[in-house]
Amino acid sequence: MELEKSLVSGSMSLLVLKLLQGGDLYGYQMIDELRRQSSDAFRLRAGTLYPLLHSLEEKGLVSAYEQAAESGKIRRYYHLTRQGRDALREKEASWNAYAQAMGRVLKGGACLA
Amino acid sequence: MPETIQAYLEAVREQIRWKRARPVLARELERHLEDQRDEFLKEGKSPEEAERLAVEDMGDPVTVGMELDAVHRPRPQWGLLGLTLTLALAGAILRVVFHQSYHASPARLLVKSLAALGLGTVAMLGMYIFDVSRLVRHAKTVYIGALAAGALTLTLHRAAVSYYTRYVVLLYPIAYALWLYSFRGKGWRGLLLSILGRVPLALICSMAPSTTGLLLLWFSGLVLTLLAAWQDWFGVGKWKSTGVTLAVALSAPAVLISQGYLHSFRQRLQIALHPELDPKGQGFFGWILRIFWAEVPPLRQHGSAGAAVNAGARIRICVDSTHVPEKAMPIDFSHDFLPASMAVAWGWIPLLVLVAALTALFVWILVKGLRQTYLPGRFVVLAAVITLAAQLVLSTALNLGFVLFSASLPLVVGNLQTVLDMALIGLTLSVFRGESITREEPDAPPLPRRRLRIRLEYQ
Repeated sequence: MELEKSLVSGSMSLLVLKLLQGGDLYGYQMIDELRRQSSDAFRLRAGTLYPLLHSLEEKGLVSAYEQAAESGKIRRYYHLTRQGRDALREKEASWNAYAQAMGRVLKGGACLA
Repeated sequence: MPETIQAYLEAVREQIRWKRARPVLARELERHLEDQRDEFLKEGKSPEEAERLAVEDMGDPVTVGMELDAVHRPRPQWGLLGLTLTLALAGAILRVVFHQSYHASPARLLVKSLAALGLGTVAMLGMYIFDVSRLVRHAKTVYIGALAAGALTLTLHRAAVSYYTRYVVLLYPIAYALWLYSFRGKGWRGLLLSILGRVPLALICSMAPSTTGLLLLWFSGLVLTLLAAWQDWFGVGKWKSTGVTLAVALSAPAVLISQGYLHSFRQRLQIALHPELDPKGQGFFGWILRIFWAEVPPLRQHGSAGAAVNAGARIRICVDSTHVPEKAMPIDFSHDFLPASMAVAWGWIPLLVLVAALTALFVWILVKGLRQTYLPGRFVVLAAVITLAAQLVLSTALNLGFVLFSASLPLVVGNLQTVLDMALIGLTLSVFRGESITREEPDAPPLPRRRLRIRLEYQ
């Protein structure tokens, strides 16, 4: 199922931070991993990912280093910082609250008697 | 929409206003595009098709470039630039006020001080916009250049000493930091060569002679190498490299002790602590200064430029009318002791404010430097701060009457030194300015050390 773009773009930084919680990754791996974990629902464009990663780095939520990947090619790996972990916890809590509220409304839980 | 990787990258580059950021950012995108192209090639697409699809997959280059441009802008360092310029201006004024009694032409003194301030500002701003990673890429050339500059200036004598070498050695901690970084990941050979790199620099300091330069080199070398060893830069183990570094650092004083320098150093230290033991000999300057300090109030009520000139004149008269033996330490009394003259004229509070402002500047730079993720940048900042802080500490001790090493108050004393100090500060600010795009080059995969050429002939 194709998801509406605005639904994904608003929570992109949450998804990226969550991916990095599992370990350091480089850009290409992140796109691949996101697609795999979401069963092809989230197809993140590289042109969206890199500016986002750089702005997260600027805010100190992720740090980066260059290292040779398994293929021997040099890749820029991103790492979740302590500050990033705290931000992830907050974003997750906020997203869960939002999703629960949305779920209640969609199920028709609100009764206007 | 561009169809090739290079055309796509060019379109992205055009949107990025900061020239230094362009190649750095394009490199990461290029690697991604190559990975994506290789993936399409594996799926059986033709090379042209694979490249076109990879580019398409990346998204609009103009949007990507504009978004990257918004994130990556130079980080201006107005606060540090402003504080440095203010202190350098204060230094220029103090030089004019307190050195008048030593100069036949006050107008010439004013011109020289202003010229130093102007040249220092140009040097600082020049370094500020300079790309530090270029120094890192040419670390060994910088090291050899610093060594050659030291060797050349040894021959340029002024007042029978290698005057300019005394200033060149102030750049040695930076040259050594770059040299050290160039041996990262090079194993035991790298560790030994990085340590040995201190020897030629120390030789230049000894030939100058500059005891302050030697002390500065020994201390900065020890701190930087210990930090590098603790982070296991050389890849031989944290504890092993730290142990070797400490052993070598401590062996340097041991060699001096074995050569009989211990006795003369102890004597020098004793005189520095108790100059009254030899008031007409080596303790002369310390003794005179302590006499002056006994009279210094917190704040002189009628402190003025005239009082400042008088204070300078009083010190000069005192020096002139007292027998200065040949063995007395070769210190330029008119320059290095400007802070003491200032305290005599205006009281010790103005001097304390000046020293506190300099300390605040260096601590500010140090704190920002230690936060740097760009490792060579962090080492360059550390080397510069050690150089500046060492001058501050040694000069303060000297002016309080503990005459052990000659040193000038940074940004305040000496025209040439002010220019050098401002250039050093500019270099540290350049590290902070380019923080968002300066990248550490990863270690290249090791090449086999011995190669065997195999030739196969088909008959």
